[in-house]
Amino acid sequence: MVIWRIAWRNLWRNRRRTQLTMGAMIFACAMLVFSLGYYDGFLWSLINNATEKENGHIFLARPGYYANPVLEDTVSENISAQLPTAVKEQVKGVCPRLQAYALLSCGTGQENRTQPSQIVGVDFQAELANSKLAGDIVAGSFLSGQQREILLGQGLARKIKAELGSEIIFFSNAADGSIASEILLVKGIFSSGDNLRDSALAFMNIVDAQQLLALEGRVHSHRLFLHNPMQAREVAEQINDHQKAIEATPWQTMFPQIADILQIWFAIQLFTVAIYYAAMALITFNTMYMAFLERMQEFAVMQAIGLTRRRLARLILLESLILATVSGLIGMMLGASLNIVLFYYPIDLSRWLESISWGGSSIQPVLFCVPSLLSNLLPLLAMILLGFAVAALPIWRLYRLKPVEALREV
Amino acid sequence: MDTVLTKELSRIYQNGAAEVKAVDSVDLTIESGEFAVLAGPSGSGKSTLLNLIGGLDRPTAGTVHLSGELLNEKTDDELTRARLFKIGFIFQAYNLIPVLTAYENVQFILQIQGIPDSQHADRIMPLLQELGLDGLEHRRPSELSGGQQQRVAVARAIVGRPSIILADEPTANLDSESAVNLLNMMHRLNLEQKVTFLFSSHDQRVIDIAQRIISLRDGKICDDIRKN
Repeated sequence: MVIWRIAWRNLWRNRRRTQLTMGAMIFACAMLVFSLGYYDGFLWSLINNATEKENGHIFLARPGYYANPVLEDTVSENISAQLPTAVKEQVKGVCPRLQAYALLSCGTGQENRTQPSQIVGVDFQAELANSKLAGDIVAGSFLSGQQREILLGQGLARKIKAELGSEIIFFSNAADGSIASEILLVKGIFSSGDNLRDSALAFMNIVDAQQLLALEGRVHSHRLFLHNPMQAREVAEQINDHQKAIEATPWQTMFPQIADILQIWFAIQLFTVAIYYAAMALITFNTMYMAFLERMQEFAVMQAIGLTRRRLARLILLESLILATVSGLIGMMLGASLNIVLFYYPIDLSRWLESISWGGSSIQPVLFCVPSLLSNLLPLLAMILLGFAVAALPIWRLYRLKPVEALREV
Repeated sequence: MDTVLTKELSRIYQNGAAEVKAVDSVDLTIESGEFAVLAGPSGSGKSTLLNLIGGLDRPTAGTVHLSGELLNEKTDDELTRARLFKIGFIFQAYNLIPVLTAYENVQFILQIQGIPDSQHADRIMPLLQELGLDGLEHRRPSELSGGQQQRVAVARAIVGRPSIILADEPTANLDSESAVNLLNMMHRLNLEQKVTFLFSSHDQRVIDIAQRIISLRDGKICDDIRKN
């Protein structure tokens, strides 16, 4: 107990120095928690943008369709019966999709603009329940199940000079070899942040698409949305082991670059911690070592009157650990608070920055953080380790200290 | 009973190529209850001999027995424990722990000796009163005068009930009045409680009050006078 008392009071002997050191440590820890939360938010957004809008966490289709999509390679609209029971428990929702290539035209005569586009037929109710497609609407509204509705990507709408309510001529080949054509009405315009995608993509109601393409009751794929996206690979393996008539492709296969980042994510976090704390270690070490040098004679006196080196070492370690742990806890709370605020109230930076397409996803200009146990605890644990590390040299010096020599200087 | 017994005790320092015999073949016995002083000019070996007896330094040759135990063979930790239970130190510069109050500085010894907390006040408060420190127990060293600090140091040295108190120039930093007061207090403790004191000092006031004067010159005992 007396060691605790001395350690605590020693820390406040040079109040200004301790306050400055603690301030630097708290700031470093808070910024580190925030940085890791921001990285997690960045990764979360990357995965979500790639999966939750269009692709889902698992892509279910006939074997070979994912690698080489062919109009005629379809599966039943009702997929539920083909999924193993264990998989069903992990599935949050299913979105059927039908996709084809078509020419979309707007205007007449010399004003006519035509663009080859990818058309995706979607079940608007399933999308509203599971995906975030509807969140991308920037003009008009999402599909409502009415006949002949179409949603255009912002870039595509610009190219063919279509507006809300414009008539779009759809022209394609149906699965039975006939010509599919229809006049559709622009119900909404969307922007996903991926300009390339938005300039060649359109959505329509799946029932309309099935009729136009002569694929009634059939779809090309089902997108499974899972409760835990990180389980996609395992769930896909279970489906593939159970059912040979369909092929499950997890998002990690669809977006290998994002999956690769996940593989090295923990190493990136540790590396970030190391960079932050390398500078912090020097500051803390300076405080601890100066405090030790100033008190060499005091330590010699304590040894002379009967305090063993082990207890003195405990005193030095305690001072260092109190400094590190208190700073770490305060820093963690500040950083975590910032992360929580930015999780619920992300800051939109689109006035200054543009979104970037990368790895099949998009990076949005949003300051968004995800608070996680790891991003909170890692900096705290590292700070405590730092406490042990900076106490090491003073303790080593203590074990070499000869009381009689230090006392002679008194 | 012998509290301290040294035989052929020597401490030689290397000063470059030259050897300096700080203590040279000293045979000395200090008996329980003595009030003795190691006297002599600067560099005569007083402090070195005190450090050897206190187990702070190791002899080059010879032996030191403290209350019958041979100190030479003890490890550093064993010496530290021996100092904790058998020796009380009083230093020239007081050397109190600055972050502890007067009471806590004295209590520190009892705490590291493992004496139960319930006994601390009963042992510390009478001692502080005896040394004229009542009312000052909650002050930190920086709030005490030099004389008061040295009296706290005396209380700290005595509270653990050691076999001997080793005091290295205890009056050197004190004004005349404080020095006399301190010496009288220590003398009274010696007379009333039979506490054994061994000083190193060239202060005439210490030499005057001591019962035994051991004079050192060039590391050797040149005179050993017991007063009646």
